[in-house]
Amino acid sequence: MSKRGKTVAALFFTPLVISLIIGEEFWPITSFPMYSKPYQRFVWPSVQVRTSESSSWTPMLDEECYGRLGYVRYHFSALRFGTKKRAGAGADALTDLTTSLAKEIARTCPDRNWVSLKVVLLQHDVRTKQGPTTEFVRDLTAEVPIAP
Amino acid sequence: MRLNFTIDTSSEGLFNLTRISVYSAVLFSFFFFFRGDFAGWLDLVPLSAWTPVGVTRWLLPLVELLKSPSTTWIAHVIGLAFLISTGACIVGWKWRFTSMLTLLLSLVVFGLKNSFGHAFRSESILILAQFLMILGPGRHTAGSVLNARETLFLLRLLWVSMFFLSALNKLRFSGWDWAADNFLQDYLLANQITRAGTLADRPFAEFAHVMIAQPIATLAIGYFVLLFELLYPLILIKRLKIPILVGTLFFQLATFTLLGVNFLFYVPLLPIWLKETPSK
Repeated sequence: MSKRGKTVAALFFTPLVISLIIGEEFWPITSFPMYSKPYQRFVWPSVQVRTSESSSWTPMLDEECYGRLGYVRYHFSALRFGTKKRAGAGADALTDLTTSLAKEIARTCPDRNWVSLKVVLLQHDVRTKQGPTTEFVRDLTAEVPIAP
Repeated sequence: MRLNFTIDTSSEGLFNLTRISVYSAVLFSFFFFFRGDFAGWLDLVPLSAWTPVGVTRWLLPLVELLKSPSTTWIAHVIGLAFLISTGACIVGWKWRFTSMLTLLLSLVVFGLKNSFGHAFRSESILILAQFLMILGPGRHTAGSVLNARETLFLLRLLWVSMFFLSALNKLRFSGWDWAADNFLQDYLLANQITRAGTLADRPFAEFAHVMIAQPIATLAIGYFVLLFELLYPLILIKRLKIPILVGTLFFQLATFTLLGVNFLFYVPLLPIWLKETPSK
């Protein structure tokens, strides 16, 4: 490889290596390897909804509506994959998300009969690896009504 | 040398093939993520969802500008310019200029997308590849910083780095515990809860449940993943190229099936692994 090629290689890969060394994401598109931080295993957000007929909460597993709520998916992932600080921001971040989500559902999916929702952080206890279950949820947000 | 079905496997030919493939994928990703309407997408996302990191914190004034109702036209111009410029790159028209413009617009468009929630960066490889491709030759080799052969080699290093740096990152933050702690089982479990809606109709959707119930299997796969990524540079050895590429395909299909994470954006770069033949 020519000297020019080596220079390009050095300039190109340096930001990626810096990102790795400092352990922070300084430019989203160059920080791809950051998916594997250990705290991922502890904090997971889940949207739960309630209808007027039911007093119990169920996870929002409505793919059609969920798919239309593009930004929510992104924000969700911020909590899952984002920095510890942001994931740990907890209450504020979740309140913002929940409020935005309620407005967005009312606007995007008005045909659903959901009346309120909450976002729950799943606090995974690594000692209880029993299979898909929500027995170790930690509720961080209050119920937010979905406007009719 | 030309094969019968007219694939030019010289360095220049492979670079051109990669160029067409990568920029077609960039165009596709624009429709995939924004449904072809960047301004409309930007209008939908609330400013409260803006969670930038690092240098993207400085983009807030741009975001505010683009989200202002009185300047929506700017986002429309950006979207239109992106479409035209990327199209020009596919055909190689005014390569030097259009490739740089497409890179700049990709940074804005996809940079903003990722900062609104900072997620699903599987398309990163397409943006990073552009940094190298703009230095390669267009229709004419004169004036390019890198020749086709060098560009292809650096693109291969980029591909390798996506896996190798991921392994180093796992070790950097978790050490061997990433595998030894059976993190993969936790990950599958959490994914089944949080992404149940999107995973439900996928082929083999129930397979993750089987895996979760087999801690030995998830432990073994965890070690396999870490070692596979760590040893990924071996793909640069000619004899190991095909087995590792096949392993990569399996690796990514498994990730898609079990975790719902889509790595299809690597596929457009596959031409870089074709065997180069000397130019005429």
